[in-house]
Amino acid sequence: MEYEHSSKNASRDAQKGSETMTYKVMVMIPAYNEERTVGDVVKSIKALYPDFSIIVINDGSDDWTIENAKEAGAEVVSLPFHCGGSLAVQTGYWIAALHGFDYVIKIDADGQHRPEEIPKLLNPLIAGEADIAVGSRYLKPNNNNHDSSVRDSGRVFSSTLVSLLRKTDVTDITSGMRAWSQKAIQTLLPVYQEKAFIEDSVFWVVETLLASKKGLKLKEVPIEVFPRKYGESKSFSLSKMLTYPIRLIRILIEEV
Amino acid sequence: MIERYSLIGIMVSIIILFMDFYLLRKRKIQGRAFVLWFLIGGVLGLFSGAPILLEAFYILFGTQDALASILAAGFLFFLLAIFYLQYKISELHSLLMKLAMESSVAKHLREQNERKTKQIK
Repeated sequence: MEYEHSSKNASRDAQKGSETMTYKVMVMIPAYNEERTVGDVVKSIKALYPDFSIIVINDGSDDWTIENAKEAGAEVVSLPFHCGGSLAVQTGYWIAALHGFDYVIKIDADGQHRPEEIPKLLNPLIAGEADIAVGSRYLKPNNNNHDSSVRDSGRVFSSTLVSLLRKTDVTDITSGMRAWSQKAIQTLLPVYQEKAFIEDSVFWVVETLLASKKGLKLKEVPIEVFPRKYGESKSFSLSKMLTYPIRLIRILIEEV
Repeated sequence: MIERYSLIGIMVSIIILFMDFYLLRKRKIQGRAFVLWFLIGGVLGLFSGAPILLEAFYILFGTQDALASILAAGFLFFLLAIFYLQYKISELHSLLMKLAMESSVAKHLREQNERKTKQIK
């Protein structure tokens, strides 16, 4: 549950004048029918960070996701039916706020992200450089981009649009590996609770715009993303792709 | 002599009003829905009983006969009704999603409390 952080390089620790500080860290893993990979993801995080609280947000899976996650040592919070990734993430925010976690990390259940890279996201938050850290696969030199050209063009379009509108430099707006400080969670959660349901495809765009509007500092860090081992991404379909520009326009009207 | 469409209109109006009051008495219709259908039944009955009132539609829509103007008005009403229903569906969807989230968080807290109680015992 706690993350020991050396004070040598962190300005926040220096201000507090302590040798080491402990933080309550939660790793949130939203999962929908990820029975094949969720156990391994939980185990690898547990092996690297035994003090972190690992919470799998089960989004109405009808396979062995819950059992495999519990067996691997995670705590499971289940939505009553399949509600979509955005609601799973919001549920994670709520739990983090209720338990007073200092930092929250989100990692995908499909094994695309490397748990070894978690400190890359946590360190800017602990150092006070950012309130939200986003892992970007496009910041890495010689990155091996595994997305289809259609998805990539959508990402580039929305990233550029948000960057222009909010004057924030975003390269991987749809990244699934992120980290939030307690301040970010406490700022964003009440807004989501007031808002109408946000579709998965535009959730990160909404969050980026909201974060910028609320004065939260966002920082991208380079990460490596592996291709999915099993199955296909659930956040992509032809109908979603065709209606994406309309959804994006709607969000921009709402948020800008 | 009363036109056939007038007669049918009056009959449908009576059925709507009867069903509306019946459902209200049985408490199976919400207040706002009752008012809406009461107005629909009333307006339908009024225009069917006094087709002379349809002349206003002739002028408004510029149609040649009464039925064409009714059709035009009905089509527009239908579009508005669908729009309103879509809005209500998305509102209900949002509420359902929030409820799903609240129930999962509540369940999680209950499980945690149960675990703590067991540990204390």
